[in-house]
Amino acid sequence: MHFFVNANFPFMKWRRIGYTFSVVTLLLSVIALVVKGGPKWSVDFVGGTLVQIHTDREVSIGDLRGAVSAIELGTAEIQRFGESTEYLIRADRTRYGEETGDKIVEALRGHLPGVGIDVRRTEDVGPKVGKELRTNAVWAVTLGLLAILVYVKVRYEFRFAASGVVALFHDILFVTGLLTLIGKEFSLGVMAALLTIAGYSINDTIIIFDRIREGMRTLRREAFGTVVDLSINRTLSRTVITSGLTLSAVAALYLFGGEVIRDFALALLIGIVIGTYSSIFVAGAIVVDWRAYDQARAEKKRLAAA
Amino acid sequence: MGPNFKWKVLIVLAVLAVSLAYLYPTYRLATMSPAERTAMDPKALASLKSNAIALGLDLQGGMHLVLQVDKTKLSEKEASDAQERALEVIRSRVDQFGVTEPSIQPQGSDRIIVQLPGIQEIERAKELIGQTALLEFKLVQPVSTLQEALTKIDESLALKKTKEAADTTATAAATAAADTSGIDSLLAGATEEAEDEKRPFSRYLGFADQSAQANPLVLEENVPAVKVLLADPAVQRLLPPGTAFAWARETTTLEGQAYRGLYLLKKNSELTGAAIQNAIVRIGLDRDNPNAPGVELTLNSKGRRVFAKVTGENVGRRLAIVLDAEVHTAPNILDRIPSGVASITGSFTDAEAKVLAIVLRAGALPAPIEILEERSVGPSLGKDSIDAGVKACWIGFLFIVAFMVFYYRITGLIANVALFLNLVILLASMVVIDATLTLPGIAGVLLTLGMAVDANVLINERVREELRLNKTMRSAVEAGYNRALTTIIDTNVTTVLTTMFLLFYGTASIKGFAVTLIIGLTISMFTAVFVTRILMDLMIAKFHVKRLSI
Repeated sequence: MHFFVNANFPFMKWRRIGYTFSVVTLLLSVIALVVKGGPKWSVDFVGGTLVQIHTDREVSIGDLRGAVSAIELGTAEIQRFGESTEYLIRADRTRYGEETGDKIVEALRGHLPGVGIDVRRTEDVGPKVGKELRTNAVWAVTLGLLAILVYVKVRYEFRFAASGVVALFHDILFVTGLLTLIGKEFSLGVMAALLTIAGYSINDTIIIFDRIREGMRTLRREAFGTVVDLSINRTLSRTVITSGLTLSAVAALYLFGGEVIRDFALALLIGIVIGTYSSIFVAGAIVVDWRAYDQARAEKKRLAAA
Repeated sequence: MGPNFKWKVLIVLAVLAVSLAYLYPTYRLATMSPAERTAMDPKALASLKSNAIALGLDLQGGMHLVLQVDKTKLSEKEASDAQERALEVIRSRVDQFGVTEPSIQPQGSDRIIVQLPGIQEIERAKELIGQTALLEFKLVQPVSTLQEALTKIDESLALKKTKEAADTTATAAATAAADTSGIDSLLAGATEEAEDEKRPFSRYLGFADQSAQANPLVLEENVPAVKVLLADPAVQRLLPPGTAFAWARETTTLEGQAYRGLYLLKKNSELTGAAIQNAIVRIGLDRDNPNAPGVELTLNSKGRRVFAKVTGENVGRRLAIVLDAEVHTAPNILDRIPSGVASITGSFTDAEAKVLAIVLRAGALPAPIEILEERSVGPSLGKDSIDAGVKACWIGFLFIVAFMVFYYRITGLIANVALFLNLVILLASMVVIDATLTLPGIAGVLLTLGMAVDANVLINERVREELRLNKTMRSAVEAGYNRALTTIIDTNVTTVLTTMFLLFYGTASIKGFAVTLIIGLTISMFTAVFVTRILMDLMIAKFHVKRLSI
């Protein structure tokens, strides 16, 4: 069985459409981030308390809210978490500090007599640690991208490396924007997913770059754009199969891996799709235009010299 | 098939055998029923557990704490080993709590990571560990000093009240009604009795005896009111320089009513818990009351000198034992104690004496600790997470395996053998290097499988291309592997590079993800390239395959 045996899509001819799509979606991401005041940081990054409870029967969110608002925590957010008897409460911890979680559970038990409440998970992050985790996350992503830039620069050329990293920025901004838009939290797990997406997306890019470099040796007479197209088409079945398989592995995680890891899996799902797209329409396209620009300038210089 | 072929096969088989051996305890443990588990010899079970894959707290349930040792109030010398001492104290506290396999690790110069797997009473544990245990010995000020301060405070408060009353008359009742909170409302309430009007503060205080060293008692119901008065900066300023009030930890019952002791203490401590070597409960310390329990306090060499000086200079006064700003007891200094061994006696019950000894011993934490971060997972969620994670892994794995056979036939089967081997070696490596499997770690395993199979997809696609150029099977395979190899290395290196930063900056559960992904991808270089090549060569040579389905 073969997919795309003699694929010959003119990807580079379509690159303007790609640019338009990318610019529009990235603008939307930026707008979403500006309007919502940045990503919806989880307690990991801003400090706060999270309590996950399981009740022995269904309780209305309103009842839970009433119980929690009685202890005046400032902001508290309550939502159903997967099952109908599973709830997640996120609260500000400035009033009670490390005891916030205990206070919440106490308030719930006092307010809802007769309802069995099982505390499944609590997370309490002080503001100091939250700030540290945020700084660390930014460092991890920055250094991760820098490491890729250096490695690809060493293995290929700077234009390739820079285009690849631009594609990664594109992916990270896209995922962050989309998650913000649909109201998903930005947690440590999502941060880890972003770095993984970067690592995954650059794989795709490198595989295409590898072919382009090979093509530059063997297809000297062809235009650079054609070489890029040929390289993308020759690796297309690999790209589709690998992305498809990784995507289905992550989809299994999203569907069956449980509620705790669902957002992490969702970030990966979006990232794998957009990472595959960006390898062709961002990294590949920029390399083509960059090279064309350099060649045009070299030509001008040559003419001027003559 | 080169001359080393047999060796290559042997290496692969040996790795497989060793991996399976390492995984046996994990398999055994996972398939054991709860009944079997309880029936098993605890020692054997423990050794089985220590040889199985370690599960993170998010999977087995438990509590993860990040504590900070506050060194700001310590001298440089005291601070130097504050973390070490805090570690010891927390260890002993955790031991008292009876958690199996706790982990208490220092982090940096002032942090401590505490992990308590399987703990149920999270609140109690947090209370016990997070206790800001600063033990100090402070001199109690004599009643004469206290009275002076009380007079000043009373005068000042009474004056403030009269002034306010005058203001109120002048500016009409409207403004007076507006502010009914805090100190003003308390003062307003004090008008009922003429005598009390002159003593807005000291009227709350009473003395149980006439001794010159007695401390005042406050009726339990008046404690909040007194606390509000004491918090007033104007009142604080009137205290004799270098003194501060402290409350008793326990209430005292007199004539059926609960009172709480209030102590005016010298602010600077004479000694801290760091001076304590040991404290034990003893009977017969008090000659007049030979059957009463007391506490024998032994000081270390440095503490002994200071203690001798302090007791020598303050015979007849009281030395309060203060833990976390609360006075546990304030024994009288009967004589100079040069030996470094002091007896604390009084009307203690057995339980009270025991608590005091524990406070002195375990509470001798030289620096307060603060809980910076707490993450707890209940055992039920942990089990659900394992079940869901393992289920997702199987479904993902089976889908990949099925697709590979469907799409690539025989070579797909070869890739699947490699994938299975990758999984086995990955899990075995986790046992060998003692890594912890977390929920994101399970995701990492699944992602590894998705990414590892990429190498085989790359190789197979390349071999197909070479075959299209009408090469023989053998040379197509040769060329396919050679050309795909650099790409495979490149892609794995970049993924490992980015994931590595998660190791440095991630938390425990994220680290678990990075660990499985990094190990998994590294192993995939062996399984997806080395092992599949052996199988391909074997296939071509032994079965004289000319056109292998690919």
